Amino acid sequence: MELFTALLLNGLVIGGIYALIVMGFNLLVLVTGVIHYAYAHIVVLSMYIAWLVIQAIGSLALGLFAAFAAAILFIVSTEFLFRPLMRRRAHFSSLIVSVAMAMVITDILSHFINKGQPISLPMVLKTGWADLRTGMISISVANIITLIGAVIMVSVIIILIYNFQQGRAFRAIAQDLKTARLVGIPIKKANTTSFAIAGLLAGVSAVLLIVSLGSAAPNLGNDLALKALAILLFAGTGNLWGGLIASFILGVAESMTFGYLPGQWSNAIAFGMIAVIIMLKPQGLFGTKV
Amino acid sequence: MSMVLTIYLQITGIFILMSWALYLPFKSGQFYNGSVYCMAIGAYFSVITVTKFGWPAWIAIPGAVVAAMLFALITAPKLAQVGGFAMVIATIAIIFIVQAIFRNTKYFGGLTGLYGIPMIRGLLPISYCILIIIGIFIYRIEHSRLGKAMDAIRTDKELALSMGINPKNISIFLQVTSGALGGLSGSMYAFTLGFIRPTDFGFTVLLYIWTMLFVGGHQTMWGVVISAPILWALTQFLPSAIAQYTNIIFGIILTIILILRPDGIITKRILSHVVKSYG
Repeated sequence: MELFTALLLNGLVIGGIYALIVMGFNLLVLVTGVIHYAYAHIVVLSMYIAWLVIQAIGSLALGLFAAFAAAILFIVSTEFLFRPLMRRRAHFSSLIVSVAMAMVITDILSHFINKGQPISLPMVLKTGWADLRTGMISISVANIITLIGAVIMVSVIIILIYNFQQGRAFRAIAQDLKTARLVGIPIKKANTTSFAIAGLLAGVSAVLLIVSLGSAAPNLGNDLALKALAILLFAGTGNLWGGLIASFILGVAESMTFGYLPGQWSNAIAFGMIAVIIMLKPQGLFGTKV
Repeated sequence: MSMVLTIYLQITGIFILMSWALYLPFKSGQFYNGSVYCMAIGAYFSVITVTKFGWPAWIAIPGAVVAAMLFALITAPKLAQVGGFAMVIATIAIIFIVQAIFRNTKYFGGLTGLYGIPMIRGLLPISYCILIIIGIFIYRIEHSRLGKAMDAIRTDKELALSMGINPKNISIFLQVTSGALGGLSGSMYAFTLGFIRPTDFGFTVLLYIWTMLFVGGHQTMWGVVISAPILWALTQFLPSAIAQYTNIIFGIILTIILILRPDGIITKRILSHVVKSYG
């Protein structure tokens, strides 16, 4: 029973991490129509940049700040690349371009930083003070911060979308692009703003990932990106709440498989589950908004 | 003919087949990446049957094609139904799953893969004969009623439906054909190199065939015939200082082409110009 609870809590934390990435992803798909496969890779790249800063200067705080800034910078600069594709609403092309970008980033990480070895970041918050322990179950402060951070960010985005004018513009564009254009909603500004917000989310994700995971490998980008994309389809493209719930479902499922089956299979099973759902219910479990 | 040139020509042929496998479903508007995992299945099937069961090559290769076709058939009906975006992601996920299965199973050699496949003499002329035959096959499909149906489905699926075209059956046919081409490529790949590893059939191949198809031109079948040799030569014959940047270069080329010239180098217009002036 203890093992089960430990795995469940672990799964919730993993789910929180996925939820952050899926949020930014969903927002971009909803508003700009761009499927930004390289989103997760940019988060991982930011983690690497933090590592480089820590190696060079030695300050964790500066490293975290560098990760935050780098993520925002990179995401906003990719907006420029996607502009001609956004104009055409070319979904396939944007996916292919972002996959190409993702492979470029993965290649850079595999060859030029730390010779492709996984990096580990100083985990000041991971163990030690203020852990909660009962028997086998232990939650570190970092995990709690990650979970709370994820929930806060998601709530902020949802409040933004329902209460602010820019958020209403987003929803209008997501519902019907042509009509939104007709009533005079500035599409280009909405595109740029949503990229900026996604960049912010990426920055927060990078910081929380550094704090909770404590390490990164070149493959992490692909791993996160595929799972985020799969969660997107699993929950229904563009469905913000659905994406949130589905992230937690996947996190718990993954944690359970990791605990009860030999480790190598957990990824394959997660993907298998998702592939089956995609084929059986292509609108996703909760229905699409796009 | 030197060994290097032989292998270069052989692998170019394999990439042309794989790119054609990607091109066919795309012609009807569906982005099907199944050729990659069918390549894995064809390769592993050939290796296992030849090294462990002692099958002769001329049975193992068709056997690999059949095995790949059967595997593609499993997911074909459902994927035909869901279409577009879900198909891309589902097929990428299946690539991952198949790779994981081969990588983690001892019988298939695990991470180090399988080796010891006997080389076939005269494989190069045989494979190019097969390539030409398949090229003719694809050309005939394109210029038949089936080809017109595929164009119709891509342009407007509902209209095609109302004219009596059956998109689901056509999609299943194209997926299985794509899988067959993938299985054939995998089998030939195994016999060319003599050893296979699970990492051979993953994202690298995917990036390569995407680049070859979109750079060469996704509107006609001749695009990849031009782009595959050039791009593969780039990976093989660049000085080693630049060669480690291969994936990055491919990524950049693909991005630039998709943004600046999304139809690729060989488009339908260019093709019709060429045909008019010389045909």
